[in-house]
Amino acid sequence: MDDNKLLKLALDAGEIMLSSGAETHRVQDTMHRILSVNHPTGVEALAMSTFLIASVSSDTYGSLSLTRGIYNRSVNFGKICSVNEVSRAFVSGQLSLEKASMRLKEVNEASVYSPLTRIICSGVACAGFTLVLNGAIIDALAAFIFGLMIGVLLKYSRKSKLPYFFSCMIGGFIAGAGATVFHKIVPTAGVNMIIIGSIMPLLPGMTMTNSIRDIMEGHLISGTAKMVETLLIAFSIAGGVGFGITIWGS
Amino acid sequence: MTFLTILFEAFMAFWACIAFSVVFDAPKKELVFCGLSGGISWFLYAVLTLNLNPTMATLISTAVVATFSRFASYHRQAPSTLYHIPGIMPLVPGTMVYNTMATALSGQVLETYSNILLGLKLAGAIGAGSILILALPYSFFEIIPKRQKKAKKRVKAKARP
Repeated sequence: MDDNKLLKLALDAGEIMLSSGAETHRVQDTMHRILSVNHPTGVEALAMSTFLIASVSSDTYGSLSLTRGIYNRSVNFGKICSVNEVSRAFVSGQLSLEKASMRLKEVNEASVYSPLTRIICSGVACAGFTLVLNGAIIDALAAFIFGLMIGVLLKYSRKSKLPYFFSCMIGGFIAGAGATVFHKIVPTAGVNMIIIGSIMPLLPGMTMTNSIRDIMEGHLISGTAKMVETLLIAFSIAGGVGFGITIWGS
Repeated sequence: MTFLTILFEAFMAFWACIAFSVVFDAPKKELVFCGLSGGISWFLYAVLTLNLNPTMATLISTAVVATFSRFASYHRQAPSTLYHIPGIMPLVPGTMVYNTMATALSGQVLETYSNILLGLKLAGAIGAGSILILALPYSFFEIIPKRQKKAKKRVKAKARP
């Protein structure tokens, strides 16, 4: 088994997992398992929140080490699951090295749902959370509309190279401005419930949980980095909402 | 009457969490479990807040959701994060993010700080509740699976003839 290709496979798996929002422990564990197929000892796999390092002491090449920067971070459960399956199959010997790296490429490009389904589901999620948090049905309707808009926004922000907190800010602005305008058209609608429901898909719930988990598991650097990211996203959502409210408010 | 409202809210949380998992690309066959974990978390939270303060209720319901996700992860052979995050989603202090903004805009300084503090408390409760369960070793959740293995064998035995 070629050690260079093995390292590349481990880093590919780690990159997909880390950029889809897996926790540090899981990424390190997956990389470590993949590398341990050929090397029982002398394997080191490190994952920080923005980069990966993997090193191996190879018989043919001497000490090998590769690093990779991770530049985009989003949440994608499907990719985490499929990378998990691929790495499990590779470690147990069901997949060869070449086939595993082919599968990883497929995983990285595939998406389970069509864009339209995702956008509609974003609307449904917003409306649902509004109802969960004690909103009226008219609030849920408004949240559904703004949820659709936020779904479109999320879809385009994935493709474009916008700063990661920018889409949250625009989403917050849509929720805040939309809710105040809707309140002026339909005075019975509550602004709070519409806004709280609409910002649900933007909230950094996964990053927050992962940051606290990382800190408690001893991955201090990635934990604190993720906590800063969480705070920044939360503040940018709040800033967007505040901007939206003040523009059409009063 | 309150019980009916809670049931309705939990039902809505179930569907909202399914929709939420679709937005983040969860595999189709796991969607029901993602929704279930959301429904459980909100149901518990709503029942517990009748008597307890929100922080404690969040802590307990997150711990239960984490337990559920660990068991589901063992049975369905998928990462526990997949079930854990949708379950936590209704409890994430989004209300605090909004309230902080609203009070800060209207110049109520004390309320702003108390909202920030409450938000941090809830976030800490979510983290603590999940880590309590997620830090347990994997073998701890293999207690029940014996039943599942038997069930699989039964299915196979039925399928063969």
